[in-house]
Amino acid sequence: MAGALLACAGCSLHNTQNALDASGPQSQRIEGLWWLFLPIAAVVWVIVIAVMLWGAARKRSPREGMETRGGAEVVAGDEARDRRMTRIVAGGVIVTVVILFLMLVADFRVGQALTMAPGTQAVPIKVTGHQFWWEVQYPDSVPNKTVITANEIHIPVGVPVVMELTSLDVIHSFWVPSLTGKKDLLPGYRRSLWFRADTPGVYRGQCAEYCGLEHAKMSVLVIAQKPQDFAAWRAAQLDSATTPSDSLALRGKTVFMGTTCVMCHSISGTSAAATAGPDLTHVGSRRMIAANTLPNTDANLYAWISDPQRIKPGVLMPATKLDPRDMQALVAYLRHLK
Amino acid sequence: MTAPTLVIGEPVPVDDRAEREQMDRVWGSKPGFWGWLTTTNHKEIGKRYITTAFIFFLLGGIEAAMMRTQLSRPENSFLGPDKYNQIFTMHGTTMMFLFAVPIMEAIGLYFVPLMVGTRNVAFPRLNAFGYWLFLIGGSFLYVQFFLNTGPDVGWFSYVPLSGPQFSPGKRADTWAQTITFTEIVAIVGAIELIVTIFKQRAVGMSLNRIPIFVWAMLVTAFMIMFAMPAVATASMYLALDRLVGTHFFNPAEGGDVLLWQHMFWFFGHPEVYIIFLPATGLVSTMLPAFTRRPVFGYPAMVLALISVAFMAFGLWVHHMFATGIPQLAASFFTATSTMIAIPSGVQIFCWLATIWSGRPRFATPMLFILGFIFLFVIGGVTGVMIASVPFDLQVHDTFFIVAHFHYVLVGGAVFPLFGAIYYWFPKVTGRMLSEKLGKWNFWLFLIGMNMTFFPMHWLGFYGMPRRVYTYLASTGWGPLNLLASVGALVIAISVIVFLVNVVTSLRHGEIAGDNPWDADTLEWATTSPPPAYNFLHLPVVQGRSALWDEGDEHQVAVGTSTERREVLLTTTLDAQPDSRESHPHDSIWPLAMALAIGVLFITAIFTPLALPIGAVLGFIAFAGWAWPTKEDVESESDEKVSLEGA
Amino acid sequence: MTKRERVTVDVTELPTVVFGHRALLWWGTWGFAVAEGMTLVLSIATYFYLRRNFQAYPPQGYPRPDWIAPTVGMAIFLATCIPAYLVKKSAVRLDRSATTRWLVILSVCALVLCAVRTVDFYALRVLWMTSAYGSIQWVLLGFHGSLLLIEVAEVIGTTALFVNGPVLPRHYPDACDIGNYWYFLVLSWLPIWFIVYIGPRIW
Repeated sequence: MAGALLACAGCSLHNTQNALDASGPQSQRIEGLWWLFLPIAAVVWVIVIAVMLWGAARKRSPREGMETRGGAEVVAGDEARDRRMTRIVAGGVIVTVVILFLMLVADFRVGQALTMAPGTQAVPIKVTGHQFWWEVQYPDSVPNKTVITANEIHIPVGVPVVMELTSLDVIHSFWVPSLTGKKDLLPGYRRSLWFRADTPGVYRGQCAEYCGLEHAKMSVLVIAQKPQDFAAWRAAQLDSATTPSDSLALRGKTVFMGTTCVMCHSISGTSAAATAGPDLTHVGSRRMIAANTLPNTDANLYAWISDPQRIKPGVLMPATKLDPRDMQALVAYLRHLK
Repeated sequence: MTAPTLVIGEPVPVDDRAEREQMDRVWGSKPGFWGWLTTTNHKEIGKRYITTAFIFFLLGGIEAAMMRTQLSRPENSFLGPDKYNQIFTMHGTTMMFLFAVPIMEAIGLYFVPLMVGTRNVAFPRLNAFGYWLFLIGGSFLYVQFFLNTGPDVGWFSYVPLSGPQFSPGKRADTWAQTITFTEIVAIVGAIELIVTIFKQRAVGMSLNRIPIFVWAMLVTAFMIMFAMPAVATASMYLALDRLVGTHFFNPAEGGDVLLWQHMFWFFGHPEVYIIFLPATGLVSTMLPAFTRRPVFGYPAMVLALISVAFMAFGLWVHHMFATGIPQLAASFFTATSTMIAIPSGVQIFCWLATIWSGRPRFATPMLFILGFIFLFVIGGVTGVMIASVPFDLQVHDTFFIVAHFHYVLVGGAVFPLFGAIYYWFPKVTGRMLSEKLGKWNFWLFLIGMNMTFFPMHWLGFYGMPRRVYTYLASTGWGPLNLLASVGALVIAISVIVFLVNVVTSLRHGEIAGDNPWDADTLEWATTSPPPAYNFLHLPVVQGRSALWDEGDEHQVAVGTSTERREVLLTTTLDAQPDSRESHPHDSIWPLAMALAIGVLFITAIFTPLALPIGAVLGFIAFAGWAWPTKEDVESESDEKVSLEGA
Repeated sequence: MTKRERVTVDVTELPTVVFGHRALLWWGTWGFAVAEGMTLVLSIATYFYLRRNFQAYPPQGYPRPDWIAPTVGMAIFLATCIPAYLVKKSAVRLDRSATTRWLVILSVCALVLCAVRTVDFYALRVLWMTSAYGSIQWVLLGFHGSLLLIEVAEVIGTTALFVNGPVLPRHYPDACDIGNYWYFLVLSWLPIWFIVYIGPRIW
C-alpha cells in the first residue's frame, strides 16, 4: 500500500530525528504503541469500507421489493430485516467498545511506564527556552561547577536524564523524537521530562510549539556519548576560556570585547557576562550555530555575525558591521573557544 | 381577484394564482437595492451567508496553496517567515471562524424553516443583523491583512506570544476582535435555530418526527451557546491584557499562560463538533434520497448526536497533554476522548445499515457521502490514537495532527458539504448541477485529499513540527512535502471544476422541478426555488419522512393571516397548534445595528472612546429597530390576546 | 408528481399575542441570558483558577474589598425585583397605566443600580492592572456591568414607548420579558457579589 512505501521512503533518510526509529526506552514504548494501533486502525478501516462498498454495490434480489409510499418509490419496510440489522449494529458497537478498551489499556500501561521515576542516578539538566535558542545548564551542588551552554546537549548513554523545563519568554516545546515525547517550556511553570538514550549518536530535535518568527529554525542537538566521554566533555565545559596564543584570534578577542557582542553574550574567564544570548565560552566546540541551523564553520560564522537576519529573519540578534579583517579575527577567536 | 376561502376537510382548489400573488405581496422583499439592504427573508439571507462563507473558503484555500507552495521544497524563498506566519494564521482563522461554522449555520438558517414547515426563522431581523455583522467582521480581518496588520500568532493565538510583550502592534488585537464578531454571529444563529425548531414546527411534527438534520442543527446550536462564550471570554481577556494592562496571562503578576489554553480549548474542542455534527446531519438528510429508505436507527442516531454534544465538552485537555497536566487528570481526558468514538461509530454503523438495506443511486451527492465515510474513518482512527497521552506526546504539534484534523474536517465536514451543495442546488436555484462535472469534482477532490494529507502522518513521525515556514534539506522531509503540495494542486483543480460547474449550471443547468431527487423532507414539497413565503399552505405532518409517510394527499393547515406576515407557533413537544405570531416587516435597522456594533468593536482596538461612541450608536439603532412603525401600528392593532400560560 | 392538498387544520381561532414560553421572544431572551450567563460562569471559574497562583487572595499587601457598601448594594439589587415583578403583573393584565408606572419606577431603579455598580467598583480597592487578582475582579464587575447597561437602555426605551408611544398588544409580553431578564441580571449578580466581597473574608 502507498502508506508503507511512504513509510519506507522516510525511514532510510535519517534515523536521528525519527519517532519510528527509537533510540531510547521512552520513544521505543511509544513506537510500540504505534505498531499496535496501526494494524488495528487499518483492519477497522478496511472492514468499514468493505461493508460500505459491498453494501452499495451488491446485487439486490427481487425479494428486496420496492413499494410506493407517499407517491415515491421506496424500499419496502421489513421488520425481520430491521431486527437483524439492529442486532448487527449492536454487535458492531460492542466490538468497537472492546477494541477501544483494549487500546485504552495498552495506552495506560505505556503511560505508567513513562512516568515512573527515573531513579537517583539521573543526570539533571535545566533547559530554558528563549526566542529562538535553548539555554542549557547542568546544575551541580557546587555552584561554580554548573555547566552553562546552549543548543547542544550532551548526555551519557544508558543513564537517565531529568530535564527541568521552563521559558523566559513565550511557550516553546522540547522535542527529540528519537528519544522521547515532547514537553512544553512554559513561562511561569517548571516542568520535568526524563528520558534515556540507549545508543550513542547525534539526535536532532526542534521546538514544537509555535514561538514566533523563527520557530522553524529553533533546533536542538542531543549528543549521546559513552559515559566516560560525557564526563570528559562536561569537565572541559567547566574550563574558562583561555587566552589565544594565535595573534589573529587574540585580536579577535579584543574585537569581541570592544563591540556589541558583550551586550548579550558571556564568555567565562572574561568580563563578558551578559545572559540575553547563548553562552559562548565553548562555542567553538559545537557542531552547529544559530540553534543548529548552520554547520559551525568560519564562513558560516562570518555570514551569521555580519547579518543574522539574512539567515534567520526575525531572530533577536542584530547585525554586526565590522571591517572584514576584524570580522575574520572575531571568527578566529570564536573558533578558538573550544 | 380575491383568494378563495379554504375550508377544513375540503381539498384545496388547484388554481391558486390569486393566493400566491397575495402572499408574495405580504412576504416578498421590496424591490431594488433598498430591498436588498432591508430584507429579512431567511432564504435571501441564507444564500448570502452561504456565498460569503464559501468565498472565505476560497480565500482560505488560496492561503493553503501558498503555504504548500512554500513548503514544497526545503529552504524555499516563496514566503518569508513573517508572511508565512500571517498566512497560516489567516488560513486557520478563516477556515474555522469564517467558513466552517458560518456555512453550517447558514445551511441551517436556509433549510431548517423549510424542513420544519414554517415561513421564516423566529427572529427575522436578528437573522439579518447576524449576516451583516458576519460580513463586517470577516471583511475587517481581511482589510487588516491587506494592510499588513493581519494576525500572525496562529488561529489559536497562544499567550504570551500573542500578549502585549511579544506581539506589538495591532495584529493580535485584530484577531481578538474577529473572534468577538464571529462569536456573536454564531450565537445569534444558534438562538434562531433553537427557537425556530422548538416553536415553529409544522402541526404534527412532534420532536420524535423531526428530520435528523434538524436534530443535528438543534444540538449544534446548543453547543454553540455553551462553547462560544469561552473563546469570546478568552479573547476579551487577551484584548484587555493588550490594551489596558490587565494581567490575566502575565505570570509575573499572578496571571497564567495555561488559563488561555484551558479557555480556548474548552471552546476549541466543541468547535470541531459544532462543525462536524451538522455535517452528519447533512449525510442523514441526503442518504434517504439515494438509498430510497429512511436512515436506519432514528432513535440511536438522535441519541448519538446528543451524547456527542455533551461529551464534546469533556475532552478539551487532550489539546494540552504536552503542558505537563497531572497524570490522573490526563487519563480522564484520554478516556473521554476515546469514548466519544462510540457514538460516532453508532452513526457510521447506522449509515452502513441504511446503504446495505437500501437501493443506492450513485448521483454526485451519494459519491460525496461514500467519500466522507472513506476519509472520516481514517481521521477517526487517528483521533483515537492521539487520545493516548504517550502517543500524543510524540505527534502533538506535528504534521501528524495536521493530517488527522484535515481528514476529519475536510473528509468529515467539507465532503458532506459539497454533497449537500449538489443535493440542494436544485432547490435553491431551480437548476441541477452537472453530474459529469460533479464526478470529476468528486474524484479529483478525493485523490487530492489523500495525496496531500496522507504523507503528513509520516512527516509527523519524522520530526516535522507544525507552523514552520521552512525546513532544512538535511531533514529529508522534502519528497513527502512535495507530494503533499502536488496533492494540494489536485484539490485546487477539483475546486475549480466545482466553480465551473456552479457558474455554467446557473445558466444552463437542467430545470429541476419541485423534487428532482424524490426525497422525503418538506423542503421538496414546494417549488424550486421556494417562494418568499415557503409554502402556500402550511403543511401538516404525519411521520418522520414527511413526504413518504403522508400517503396520497398532502394535508395542510389554514387560518394564518394572508393580510400580514404571520407564522404558526406550535407546542414544543407535540407540535399542536398554539398561537399565531406576527412577524416584522423588512427593516434597515439590522444593518444599522451591525454597523454600530462594527464601529464599536473595530475602534475599540484603537481607543477606549469606542465604548461611549459605540454605545450611543447602538442605542440609536436599537431604538430604530424596536420602535413601532406606522406599518406596524396598522397591521398589529387588532390582536387576539390569550393570557393562558402567562 | 404534485399531490392533492386537503385542509385538515384550521388555526383561525388561535390567539395572536401570547405570554410566557408560548411566545417567541421569551425564548430569545432566555437564549441570550444563557450565553451571557455562560460567560459569567467562565469568569468565576477564572477567578478560582487564578487564585492557585497566589498564597493569599487578595495578594499580600493589598486591601480586602470593602464588604458593607456592596452588600447594601446587593440588597438594593434584590429590592428592585419588586418593581420588576410589578411590571410583569401589570403587563399580564394589559394595564397600560400600571405598566407604565412601574416601568418608570424600574427605569429609576436602573439608574440607581448604575450608581450602586460604581460604588461596587470603588469597593474593590484595587485597580485592574494591580495583578491578575485586580484584573479578574474588574472583569467580573465590568462584564456584569455591561449587561446592566444594556438592560438600562432596554428599560428606558420600553418606558419611553409606554409613556407616549404607540403601544401594541405584543408589547405586554415584551414587558414581561424585561422583567424576566431583570431577574436574571439580579440573580447572576448574587454569586459574583458573594465571591468577590464576602468570599475573601470566609476563605
